[in-house]
Amino acid sequence: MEPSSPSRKRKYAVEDECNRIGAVQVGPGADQRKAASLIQLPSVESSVVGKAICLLRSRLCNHAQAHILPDAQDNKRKIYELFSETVRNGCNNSILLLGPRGCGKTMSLAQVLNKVIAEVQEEYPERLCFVRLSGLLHADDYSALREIARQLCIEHRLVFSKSASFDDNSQFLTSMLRECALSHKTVVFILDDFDLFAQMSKQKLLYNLLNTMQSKEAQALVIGVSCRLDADQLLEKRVRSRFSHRKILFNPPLADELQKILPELLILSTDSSIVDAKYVEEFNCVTQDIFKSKEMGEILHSIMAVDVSPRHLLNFLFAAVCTIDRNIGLFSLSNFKMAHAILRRQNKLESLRDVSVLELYLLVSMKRLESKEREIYNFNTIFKEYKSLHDSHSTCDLYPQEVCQRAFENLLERQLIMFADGRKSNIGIEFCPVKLLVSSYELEEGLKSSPVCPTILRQWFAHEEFK
Amino acid sequence: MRHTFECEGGKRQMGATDAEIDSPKASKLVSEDGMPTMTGECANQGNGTRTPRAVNGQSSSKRDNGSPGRETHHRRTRSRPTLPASTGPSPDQQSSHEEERERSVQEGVPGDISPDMLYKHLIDRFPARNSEIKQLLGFFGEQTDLMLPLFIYGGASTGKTSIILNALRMMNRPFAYASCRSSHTPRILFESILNQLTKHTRSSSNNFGSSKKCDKLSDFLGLLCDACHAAALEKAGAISKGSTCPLKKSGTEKVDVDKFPKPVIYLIFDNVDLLLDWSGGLRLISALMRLSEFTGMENLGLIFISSLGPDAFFSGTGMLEPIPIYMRDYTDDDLYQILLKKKPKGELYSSFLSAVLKPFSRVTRRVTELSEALERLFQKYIEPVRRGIVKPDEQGKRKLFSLIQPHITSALHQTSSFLISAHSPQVNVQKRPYGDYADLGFQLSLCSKYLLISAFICSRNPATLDATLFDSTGGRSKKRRRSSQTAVDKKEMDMQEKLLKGPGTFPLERLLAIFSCISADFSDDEEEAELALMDHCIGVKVSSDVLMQISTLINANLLYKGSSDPFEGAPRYRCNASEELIQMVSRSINFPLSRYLYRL
Repeated sequence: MEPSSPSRKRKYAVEDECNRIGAVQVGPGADQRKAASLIQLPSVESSVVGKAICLLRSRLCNHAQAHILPDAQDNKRKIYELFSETVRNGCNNSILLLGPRGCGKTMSLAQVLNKVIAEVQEEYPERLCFVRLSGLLHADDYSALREIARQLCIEHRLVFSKSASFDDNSQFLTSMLRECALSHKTVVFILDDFDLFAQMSKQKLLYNLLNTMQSKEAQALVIGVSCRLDADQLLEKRVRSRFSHRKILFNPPLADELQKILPELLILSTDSSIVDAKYVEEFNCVTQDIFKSKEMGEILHSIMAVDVSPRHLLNFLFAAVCTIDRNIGLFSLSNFKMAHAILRRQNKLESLRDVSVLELYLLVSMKRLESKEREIYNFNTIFKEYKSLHDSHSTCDLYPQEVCQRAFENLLERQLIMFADGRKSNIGIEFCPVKLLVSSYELEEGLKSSPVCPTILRQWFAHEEFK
Repeated sequence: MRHTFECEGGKRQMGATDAEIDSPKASKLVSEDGMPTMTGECANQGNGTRTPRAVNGQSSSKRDNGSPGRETHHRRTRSRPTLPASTGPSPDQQSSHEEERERSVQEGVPGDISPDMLYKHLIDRFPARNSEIKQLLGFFGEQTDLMLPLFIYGGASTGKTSIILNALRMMNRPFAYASCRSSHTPRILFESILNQLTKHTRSSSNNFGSSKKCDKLSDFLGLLCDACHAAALEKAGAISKGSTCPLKKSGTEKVDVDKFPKPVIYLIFDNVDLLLDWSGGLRLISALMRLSEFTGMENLGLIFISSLGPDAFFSGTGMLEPIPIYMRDYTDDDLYQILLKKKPKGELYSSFLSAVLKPFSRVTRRVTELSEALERLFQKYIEPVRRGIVKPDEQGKRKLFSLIQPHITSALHQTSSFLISAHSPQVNVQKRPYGDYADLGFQLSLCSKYLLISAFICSRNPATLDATLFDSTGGRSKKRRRSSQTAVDKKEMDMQEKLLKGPGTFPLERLLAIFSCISADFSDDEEEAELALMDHCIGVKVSSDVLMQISTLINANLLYKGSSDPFEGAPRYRCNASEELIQMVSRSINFPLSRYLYRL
């Protein structure tokens, strides 16, 4: 059962990766020396380095990350056609843009909008008006309506009253929609995190919007953006029947493409503000060399094996940029190795490595209880098992109940164990049933890696029947 | 969307003006190098901040606002970056104030201290954290370096918050800090951040109100934009002022500031793991994670501090993943260093630690808990020295060790009392008055003691046994027979079930019946006879008193009262007191508890 579990497989993969990378690692010191010897310049001015790093960082932190995202020409064309149809024919439309996070949904939309706005403004001025909502921010109907009213007010240079009630706002919205329809103005609703709107109770907002769009009284376009591919399945029947069921799917970029794009993100352009052209050249050269190297390929491979989302890769590059030694000012392989180490986290193992001996004893007792097919256990039963272990083999680690209970609470705090029903009831902690959140494999690894684990505990763990 | 495009435009513009910045920046760096006096001052500063706890440091640095003189001026600007002296409400006034201040400090404005110095200082303050500090400083970078969200996690008392706050303070960066523990609703959280950014202090003059009223996240975004803009302007003004020609008019300066890369403003959210328990907390944290996206401000540095790993937050929700930094727990050697650092009089303490730390660290590795437990033991350890019996030399140490040896195990086993009193965060942990058991016995009235005992009997014994136990027609032999008959495996099963289920519940009537039984039986003593008299003669009145006592016990959480269910009828009770406590209580009134307890 164990070896087939995916988490374990993944862990093996990650570990193999580490070993391979670790094997070729020369050590950061050697790397740096190598990098330092590469510099022909007598010394790079630290201000130049600082500026280069600053530039790279701002490039990586920029939200409209145009470089790394796939160029979704097809999708953009679809959105554009939808827009022109809506504006020219004065009809109502609704559409969903779906795709995993960080695949350029919002960015494509923004680019299309820019294009549309430029064209439409030329042809027919004052034909479009935008309302942007986010599911995270305007989670309830009240604040969503209020935000709509506020944005419409700003757009039409009206005075927005903060104290307007829900009714006022909703009446305002209907009348505004009517007015806009009369003057052939299309109101575009852009709903970010559409799935969160669909998770609201009764989906009132969506229903109201889509319902008014059924009549001649409104001219509107509703664009939902969501990272949940089943977002339209979340809609209620009455809402779904009013929705156009147009969906556009965005795909994450392919790993091969990304591999080509990544070094470009770290290249300094020669015409940038950095005066020192020699440094720029040197920097680019070193960076490209690193990306060509075999070890870097392995690192990238293992990074992408876990997660190919652009955000993850940006995090990786950002961490690498942040570890650059400012005295040298050039990338070295160790930067990327370090970034890889930062992002590759194994929380459970980390916290298992950190627990004290007593806490390890409790965990092993729980594991033993589980292997005895005791489905439910609480602190009392765990303590009994712990004591029975010590009765058979006297060790120095037998502590009274209160001490153990405190250790037990620490484990709860670390979320290595949790209450079986999600929360504690009020009978006292020792009676609440708990469950273990570490797998047997993880516990085994944890015991191996723990610097304090006594040998007898490992034996107890390994031989379940060991008495 | 539109704002992102604007940002890109802004970036391009930034790039264009980079050449302009070049010269002032370079000059700034030169001036930094050419300032050897800074070293001493920084060290001073470090010592100054050492005494108060990191979080309180803000208020302490605020306090020396009032004191005049150049030197304090310098110190204040470095330790508390977001605090100008200005109090003027209008922006014009503020900028003029500021200008004045800047001019007075001008020669002394060193930007920030050199990274190497900072690194050394932090390492000195926080031993065994070298790699983490290095990583952090790398992520912070320079003043204008943008940053992706960071997520710092690690167990309790591993120095997460204090390292970050210290680093930011030393680097003279503008930041706002809010802990989700003290700010327990979104509103307080938002307002405390806005207050810090706008330097609003709540005082009696403004009726302890916040600068802005802000309930919803969507309101917060707008206000945050303004507040950050103001703070950034000020900071950018300080940078440009410190390096470029100081004689510019305030009007032209503002234009300049827009062109400069904006300094990053750090928002620190502490204890974000508590957000998981809030209603809508997960949504709030994912929104906070994307604050800079929502506000369209790139120069926000978001830092989240949590005691739980990222898995608790980000598994499968598809939210933006921050960069994780793990603060591991201290190893034994680290603990040794840290604890030794706390004690100025080193040598004796170090030999004490090397003798004692190992067994203690097997139980817990938290610095807070350990230091408290060891402190007591240390008092015992040095007592012979203080009394002059043992001299603190090599031989004496061996003597001391042999003297302390028996105390170690007993101290280890008493850990409960110190563990509870340690100031460790207890989130869901029910507090139990371990240490107060001894006192408790004397504080209860006699009636309550009987009530408690009878409640305990109700909880532990099956209800079917009541008749045999309390009926005077001699059910005792029956009980003995039954217990001898029970088969061993059945006994085992029952034991397990009892351990799992905890104390049983009982209706009020049963409690009162047993109470009257035992208080009648044991009224041999004079005082208890009185009670029994009351019990039997004036039944109604006593029972109202008794009910009062029951509600008192419920309030003390010694009894637990379940909710009354319309279907089940009257509420059921449960005894929460542990067996030791009951033993103690029954001993204090000479009650033979064991006679009435049904043992499996």
